[in-house]
Amino acid sequence: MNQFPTLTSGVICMTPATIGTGFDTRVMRFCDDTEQRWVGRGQYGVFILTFTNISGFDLANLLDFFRSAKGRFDATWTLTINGTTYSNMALDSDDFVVAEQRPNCFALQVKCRQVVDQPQAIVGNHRRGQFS
Amino acid sequence: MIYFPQIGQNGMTVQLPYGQTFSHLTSVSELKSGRRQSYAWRPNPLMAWDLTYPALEPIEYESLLNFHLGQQGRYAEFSFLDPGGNLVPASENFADASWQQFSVAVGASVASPFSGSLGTTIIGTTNGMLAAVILPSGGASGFWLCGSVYVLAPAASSLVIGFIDSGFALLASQTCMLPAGQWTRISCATQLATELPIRFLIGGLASWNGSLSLFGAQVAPIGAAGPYARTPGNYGLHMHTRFDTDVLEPQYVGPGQISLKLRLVEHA
Repeated sequence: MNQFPTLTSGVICMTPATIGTGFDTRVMRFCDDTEQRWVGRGQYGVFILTFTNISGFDLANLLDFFRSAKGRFDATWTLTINGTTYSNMALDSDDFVVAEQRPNCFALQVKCRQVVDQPQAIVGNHRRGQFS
Repeated sequence: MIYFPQIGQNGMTVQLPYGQTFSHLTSVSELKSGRRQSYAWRPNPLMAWDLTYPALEPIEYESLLNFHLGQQGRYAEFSFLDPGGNLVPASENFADASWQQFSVAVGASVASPFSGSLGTTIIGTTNGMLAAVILPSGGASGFWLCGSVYVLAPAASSLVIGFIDSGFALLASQTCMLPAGQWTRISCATQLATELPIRFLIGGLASWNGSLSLFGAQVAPIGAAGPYARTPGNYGLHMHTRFDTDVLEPQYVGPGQISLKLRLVEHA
């Protein structure tokens, strides 16, 4: 199983980072304002990982990962942040957009989410200053 | 072979910030149950480049203008030597078929200068060398190239890197001193003066024998060794590229200073 790579500095991503959670609730509202609601799927994680001023070597590792996942295609890889492993992850985009702002200083964002419900403690990760 | 021009001295193709986009194409069906079906249309991503020129001199802009006119905007295709890519087909796998081995044996993996066991030991006898074809169609006279590789030598020694053509004529070379037990990135830059296909050379000219460790061979179409780019993931030769705009809109931002943005796309 493929794993999201770690930077050579040992962290998984930089700030600002989003470690969020989502549900997929279906809501049907009728003419008399009554509602019918049901759970489409349970809790899943959503992530926006930011990389600023990373080196060409770190970029090469991230690019290799993107190519092996084939963009949105692969939904079986894992992301481990601060000891919590999120499984069944998928990238949100088929595009891997990189900007070289200064020589050997690359910046990019990676958006991804879980495609299979995984209720677990995402809360603890909000209290950390860095993501490793 | 038509290449996107290098417009400045020392092989400048773009200015910073420089944007690369790698695009896969996936069809995804998300079912209401949460199940998901996906189909990948491309085995490898296609690329697009956002070229930003905040400060061009008029002569540099005219070079781009003439090229855009020659291509009739989006109509014609050309080859793009990506300055953020690597023209060596396999930068970390020296046993790959793209590396021609002459009196060299490729040995075990070793720790790389960054992380992981990505370095490779090579054992050479007298005049041992490795060569990789980097411009298979040639036709790049006047273009700047810079070849580089990380080398770890067990004892202080020297190693030659350079460029040869398809007929083994030496085009440029640099004899580089290697300190003992320390990863060192050595490089050789040259402006091509031949239309023949070009190969990147590591070793040869009786510069070494014995054991060395190599990592990250790279040839960038610029005048100095740029940030490391790994191949095959970030290959630098894109032979089916075109402009993404029919309109060229320069902005005159000061006396003799022109700003321009271009987007190139790869279509195959």
